[in-house]
Amino acid sequence: MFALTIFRTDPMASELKVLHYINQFFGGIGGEDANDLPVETREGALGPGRLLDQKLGDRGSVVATVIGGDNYFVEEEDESVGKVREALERFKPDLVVAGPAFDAGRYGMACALVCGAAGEMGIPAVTGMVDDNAGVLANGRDTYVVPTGDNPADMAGIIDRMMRLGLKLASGDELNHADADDYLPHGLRHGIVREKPGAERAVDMALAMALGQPITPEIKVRQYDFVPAPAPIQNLAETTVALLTTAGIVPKGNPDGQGDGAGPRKWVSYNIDGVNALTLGEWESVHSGFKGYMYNSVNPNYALPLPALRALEALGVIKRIHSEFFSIVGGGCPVTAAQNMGRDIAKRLVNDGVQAVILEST
Amino acid sequence: MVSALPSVPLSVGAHRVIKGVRVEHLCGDPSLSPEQDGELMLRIARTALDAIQTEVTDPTLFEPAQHTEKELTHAS
Repeated sequence: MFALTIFRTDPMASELKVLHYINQFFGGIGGEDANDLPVETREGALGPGRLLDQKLGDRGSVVATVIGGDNYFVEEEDESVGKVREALERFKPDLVVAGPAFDAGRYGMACALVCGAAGEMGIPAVTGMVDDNAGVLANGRDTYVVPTGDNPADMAGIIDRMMRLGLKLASGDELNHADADDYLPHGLRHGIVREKPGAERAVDMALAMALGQPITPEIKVRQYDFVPAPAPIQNLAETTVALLTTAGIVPKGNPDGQGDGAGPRKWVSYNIDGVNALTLGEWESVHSGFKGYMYNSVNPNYALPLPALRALEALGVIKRIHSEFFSIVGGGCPVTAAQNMGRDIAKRLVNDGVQAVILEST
Repeated sequence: MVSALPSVPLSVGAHRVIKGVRVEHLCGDPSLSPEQDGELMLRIARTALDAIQTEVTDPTLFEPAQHTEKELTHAS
């Protein structure tokens, strides 16, 4: 029935050509030992692509498979994407399917780059991965990602879902909202007409809540991880304390090109050994929300109470302030990006023997 | 963590939240004299250190004292 809505003409004449991207592992070439495999293209389906080909039936077929090593693709991004473009030009597919990558970060990133290259050439593309895979954020709103778990045993179902979304994209039909068409939300809002106006629906919902009846919120609220509280510090005088600010404090001139919050997120760290206070001439905030604010015109230490902590260090209240402070730009930061940066910074701190952190969150 | 808007981190489960001054000047207040401003920053830092020595199970707000010990001495 689904196919009927798409192919209104002779099915043979409109058989869909699909190009599939997979990594070295799913291509059956090898595991991490083969992660430096350069990108190569083979005719026909391979690995999970065979399943895709089978499910397509007479609606289409996998005409080519591009395989890339997980490390190679990301490290040699320009060359890899170039090879993908060559394959797209050679096979002229109607649809690109990448992965699924599950929770594999490098594979997820490669899938996103493949979809991005297809998108630039006007070819519909779909991939699949867990919702916090870095690949989800790589292309922003331009990549259609079917949400998956992390279990490759679910491959058949995911291939089926990616195919359905892909067929719809390739048909040129307008997509419904993310849940209805089974992709991760792009943050785009579509106006729809409801039976009752918002005020009535809000009152209905409030009444239902008061009566203890189940409600269905109309706005999805992200569920945050529950992290148990770390144990309290027992001996402060033996504790190394690090400082981390979200105000985007960097050396004047921003030597590492820290973003102002509009683009991709990264963390930076700077040595403050022997520095008793940040000075206006030497430090600045690049946070776009704060340009011209107090941090840049009065006192950068408002973002990082270094003078106070130095005084406490001198009194022996703490053992020492960690050699480096960490700086990120907090405004509008996606939760996933914050989690990734937090994980990296935490690893570094543990490695450096830091026992406590004071995070200044603006 | 020190936050000017503590209800936000508390609502998402941050464990030890210290009330800062304002988003624009989190750990100080430019309307104070330099000496008072420095004392305010010290109170915030001390409160943060108190917080990391305190056992908590749920998100907990720690508010820096309003006055320094010195100010209290003057007032008495």
